[in-house]
Amino acid sequence: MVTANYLYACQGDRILSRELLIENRLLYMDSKWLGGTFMITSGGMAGINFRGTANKPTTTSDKYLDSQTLGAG
Amino acid sequence: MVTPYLNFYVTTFVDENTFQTDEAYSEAKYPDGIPTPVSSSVLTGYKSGNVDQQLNYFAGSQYISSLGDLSLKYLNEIHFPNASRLLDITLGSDAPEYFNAETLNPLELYTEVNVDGTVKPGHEKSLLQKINLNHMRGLNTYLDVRSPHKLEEFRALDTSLRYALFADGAPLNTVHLPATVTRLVFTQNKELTKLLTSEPVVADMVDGTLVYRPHESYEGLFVDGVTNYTDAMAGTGSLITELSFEGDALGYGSYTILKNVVARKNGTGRENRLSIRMADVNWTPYVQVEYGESKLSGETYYYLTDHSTYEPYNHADEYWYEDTLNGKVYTYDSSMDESTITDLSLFQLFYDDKNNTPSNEINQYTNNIESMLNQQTYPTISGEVYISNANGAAIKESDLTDKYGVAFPNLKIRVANVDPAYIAKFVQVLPSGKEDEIDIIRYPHEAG
Repeated sequence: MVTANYLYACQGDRILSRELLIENRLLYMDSKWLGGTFMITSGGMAGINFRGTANKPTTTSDKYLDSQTLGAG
Repeated sequence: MVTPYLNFYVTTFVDENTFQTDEAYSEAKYPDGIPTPVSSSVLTGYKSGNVDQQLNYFAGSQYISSLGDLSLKYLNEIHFPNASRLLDITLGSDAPEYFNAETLNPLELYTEVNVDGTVKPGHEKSLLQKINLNHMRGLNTYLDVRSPHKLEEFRALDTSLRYALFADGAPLNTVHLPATVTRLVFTQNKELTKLLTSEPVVADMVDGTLVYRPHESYEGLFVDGVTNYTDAMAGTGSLITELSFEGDALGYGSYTILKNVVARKNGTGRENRLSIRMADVNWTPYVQVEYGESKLSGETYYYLTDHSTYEPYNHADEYWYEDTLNGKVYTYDSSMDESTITDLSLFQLFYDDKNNTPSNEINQYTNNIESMLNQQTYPTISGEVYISNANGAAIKESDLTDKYGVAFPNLKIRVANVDPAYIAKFVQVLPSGKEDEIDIIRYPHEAG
């Protein structure tokens, strides 16, 4: 029989629960208002960055060029 | 499509323009990740034909679980240093005819560990489960992916990958490697159980849409030119210089890999040496019954004789615990194809290589390719092997001790057809009743 009676045990004690609630709420606000680790300055932008290529028909299989010419690849 | 770690807004920077999603991510609403907005002006510039690159940044990168499929971005540079919550990295694509031959400089997954085995600070990607680098032809380096110890899938076909190092005990179940790999190193990867003998097809194009096949159809280990070996490849040369399988769950699969790599080997000299370290191999259909298991009425059991053969188990029930305690009782796993090994030719090859090589030359099959001229070694192979030679020539039992026992001291060789020897077996009977083998001497019949 499935019961939710003991589900409370999964959430840890009240201190941990409160810490996580506040931490996640602050992260959520940061993500909306670009604060903390979500700032546009180097703190946020240094994490993931990549460079995509475009319009390179010989080195990629990208055939959908706007010039209407199919790439060699 | 980006999937944040929790229900956050996603902000991206494309060529220094900021874009933020209109709403926070919701797993129920966006099960495949929230679409990141793209401005029409950026797209127009992109399509003009004058733009050849696009820079993308992500705010709050340590709280991103997935960046989605990046293959159509055709990356030539990527940095992931603090993206510690990533679950998957998809830079290549499974689409037929897709390729990205851009020079990848650098391609840094930040999954490497230090020489001492510790993870570089901030680079932990302990949650990472999948890496897809298929058809990234510019990839010509090696990858250290030892920090994601939960990695399940690594695919890099149609690349020039030199080798990949995985975490010990990682639950890998799918590994696809190109023909350019020089090292195969797997340690305690117990979920890797299948060998793919033909090139796996992961997805098909159906009416212009990529349709993935069931995961079971491409699950397993595939190494181009090794696992799909055919006789036509014999002697064509192999780039592989190191085979290291420790505690693998491939069964006969690791033997097949070893046999195929040896068959492809071409040339001699220092640059063509092959380092072989295979620990705890399981090249036998016979499975030892563990002490404590009950005797089942419907099961067929086999008894391991002192002559290294198996015979049907017909001891009285009162001997069951004594026999299982001494590891003498086996069952037969019919799913294993025992015809994979019918002779000792591979072991004979390694034995002859070591013993017929002049002392001032290096031998070809070793356990350490860095060893010096005067340090000729046998390959390291330990575990259990069964030679299914019931229809072939009998194996001289004395060779098991005097020859192969010297070359592979920790390899237990069992055979179907043996030319028995006189045996002197020295055991110490422990108080528990277990017989501790001290030594076994086999003396050939013809010696009188």
